[in-house]
Amino acid sequence: MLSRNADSMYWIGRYMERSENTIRLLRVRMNFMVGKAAETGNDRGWQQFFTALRQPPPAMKNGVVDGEVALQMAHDLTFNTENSNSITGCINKARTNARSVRSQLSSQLWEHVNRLYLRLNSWRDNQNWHQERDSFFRELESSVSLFHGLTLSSLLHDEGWLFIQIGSHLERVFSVCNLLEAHFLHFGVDGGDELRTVDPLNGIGVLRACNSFESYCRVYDPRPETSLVTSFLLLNAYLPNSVRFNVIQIAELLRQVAGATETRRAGDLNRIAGKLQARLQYSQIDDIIDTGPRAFISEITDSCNQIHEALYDTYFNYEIEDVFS
Amino acid sequence: MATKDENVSESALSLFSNYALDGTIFDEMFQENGRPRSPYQKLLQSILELQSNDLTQRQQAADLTFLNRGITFTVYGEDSTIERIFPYDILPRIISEQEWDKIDRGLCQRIHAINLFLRDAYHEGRILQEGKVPFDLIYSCQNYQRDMRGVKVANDVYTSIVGSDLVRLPSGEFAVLEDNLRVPSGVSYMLANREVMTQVFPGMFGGYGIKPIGHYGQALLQQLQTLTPKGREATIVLLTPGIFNSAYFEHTFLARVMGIELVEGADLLVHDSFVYMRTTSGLQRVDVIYRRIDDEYVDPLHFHPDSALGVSGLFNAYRAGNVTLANALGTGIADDKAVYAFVPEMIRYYLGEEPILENIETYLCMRDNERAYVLENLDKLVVKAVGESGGYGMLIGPYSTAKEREEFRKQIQAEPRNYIAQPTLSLSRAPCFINGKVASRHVDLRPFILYGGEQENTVIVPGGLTRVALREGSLVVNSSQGGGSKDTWVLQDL
Repeated sequence: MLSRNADSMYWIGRYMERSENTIRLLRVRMNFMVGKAAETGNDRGWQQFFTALRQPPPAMKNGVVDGEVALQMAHDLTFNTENSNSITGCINKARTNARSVRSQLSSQLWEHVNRLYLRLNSWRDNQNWHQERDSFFRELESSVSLFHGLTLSSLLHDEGWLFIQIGSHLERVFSVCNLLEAHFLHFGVDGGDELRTVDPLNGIGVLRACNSFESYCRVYDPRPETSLVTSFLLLNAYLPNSVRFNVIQIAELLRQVAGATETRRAGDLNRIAGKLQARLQYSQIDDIIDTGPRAFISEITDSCNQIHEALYDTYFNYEIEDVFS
Repeated sequence: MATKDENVSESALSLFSNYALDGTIFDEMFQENGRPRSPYQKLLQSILELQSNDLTQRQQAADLTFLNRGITFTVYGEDSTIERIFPYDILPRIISEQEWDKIDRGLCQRIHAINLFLRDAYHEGRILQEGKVPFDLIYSCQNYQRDMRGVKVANDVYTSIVGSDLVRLPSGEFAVLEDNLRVPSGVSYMLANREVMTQVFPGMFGGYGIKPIGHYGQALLQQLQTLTPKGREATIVLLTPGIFNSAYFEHTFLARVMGIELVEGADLLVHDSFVYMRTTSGLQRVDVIYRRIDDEYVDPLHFHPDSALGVSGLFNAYRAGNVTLANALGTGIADDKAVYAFVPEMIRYYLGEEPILENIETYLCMRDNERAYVLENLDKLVVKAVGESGGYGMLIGPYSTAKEREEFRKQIQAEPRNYIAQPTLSLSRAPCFINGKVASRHVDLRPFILYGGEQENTVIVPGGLTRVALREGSLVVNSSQGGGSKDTWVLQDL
């Protein structure tokens, strides 16, 4: 397939996944404000929220987060097209990429993405946003789920499909890692080098934001413990949102791409992915304690960044000189 | 208006209360006595059975379908670009088989002659030497490509993908207004219109006997495959200027129906005079490029050095015969609005036949006596700049101001070669559904011709794109200036 198209497919996967992450974080954060925990956890909760989404910290007034400002920022994270983490920003970009590979997509999938884009843009001027936001976010969430479903059921599972999947798994790893990192940064003891946090309740928020709370309750006692939450989200073999689960997918998908393209350039790429896969498959919570949670997480994100770059060197933007030499 | 019929309710008849008939303008639906023409009889019946509300709902359903499918074109605004749907009218334009047959034969003849002319003009130039077409008209043409002289073009097919604009004169005869021989667009709207039409009027198609058009994509692919000895094994791509081009939807549409890659200039590269595209599996050789980029932009090394749309070195690869471009470079000399006047002559010269389809009478401002006539009658004529398209660079005499005429007068005197004039045409009018009523609007017709080297190898899908000037009284059908389109039916004789 054309390199540029593969590149676009990859970013469709990434942006759709990123929008899903923003939607879920927004929902969890906004609902959290309503509960009792809002009293104590609000400031750190907002800070963690914006850090996890790679946003500047919200303005403080007398040492506390200004609620109005935070809400305005949340609105921005929904509708500001300039922000590449905002829901609208992600959907617009996913749709632009989809438009440029229109001929590779099924009509169902394209029309779904296009309708999602039109829907979001028609919502932008809704004055009642704050009142209706929960049902709106839920509608968006199921729209994104439908995107995944249509990708699975209506696309040819060829190279293009593989690149969408790679993009979406990679983005999910980043999302989980960013969220955990933000958690340790704002709720951690000793700057997050300890596997303990000052507010164990926040673990529920983290699990919810990863759509994993219910799964957690089936595996562990429903009163979350930071070390268990961490190991669940990083190392669990069966949780579709765990880092380990997604990395195994990425490594396998990359092997399939190498097979489909019959390329000889994929050595580096597959080595990086394989190493990361082994690291996660054979690590236990003790290894995270030894390394320190934040250091462990940043090892993972470093490897993922290398995978991203190696994708470009191998498939999207390889040196032409190498081909003719 | 319309015929009184006992079965038709008053409310249905009121649909037509604003429908204007004018003896000097051909009406597609009604004869002068107000009775429907035979191809339209059944449609009229269907309209009268439907309520205005029903039509409105279907119109909205159609608009929504276009929007959801992303069948849009890009409009470049002052500070932002927006996507708009191409305005669509739900009432089809209907052409009888007999009428179509003449159009079909006429266009096959015409495009064949034009291709023979192009070959001649870039080789021996017989027609020029014999004085049938003036030398200086060709060599002064902006679109003349000197470097194409003597270049062997695959199968001698210069322009294989054509869209000619036809208008219907008050007499009811179709005439050719212009030929688009370079990168004609609009065919995707023809196909999309039909698709949407079948969706919003699912029950209506059965009884009419409408000739199908859905095979255009396959026919185009087949035509492109004949342009290379590799045939079906060839790698064919569609070269687009990119996502910001106003016809981008069409490019993705055509690539999809043909199952070929849609590439941008940056996806291609030339090495040792061969063209490759960059794929995830490495570089892949390209044999045929259906290019939707104008001549001047295909190769920055050869033409505009600052253009990022094309491919460096493409012209050399082309000249070396290692890649085929469709259409060939330099075909613009034959759709120059001044050269247009000589097409009937080309048909007589190369084929020894009389033209089946008429030309519109054209005055060349480069000729002294014709210029004098044009300058004297600016208020009656339509003046066109020869190199412009899309309805720009045009003076419609009867609707112009004295100031506009004065400007054109100066421009014509300064550069007579650049201007032609034609009598103001009263394009035929067809029924359109506008604001809950059926109203008549001016239309033209752009059939899409796929030329394969001989008249017999030419494919024209029945019908084409009917463009509508949606503004009342307007004669401008271009989408950039308030034009829309409608489905076009060619009926089968049952």
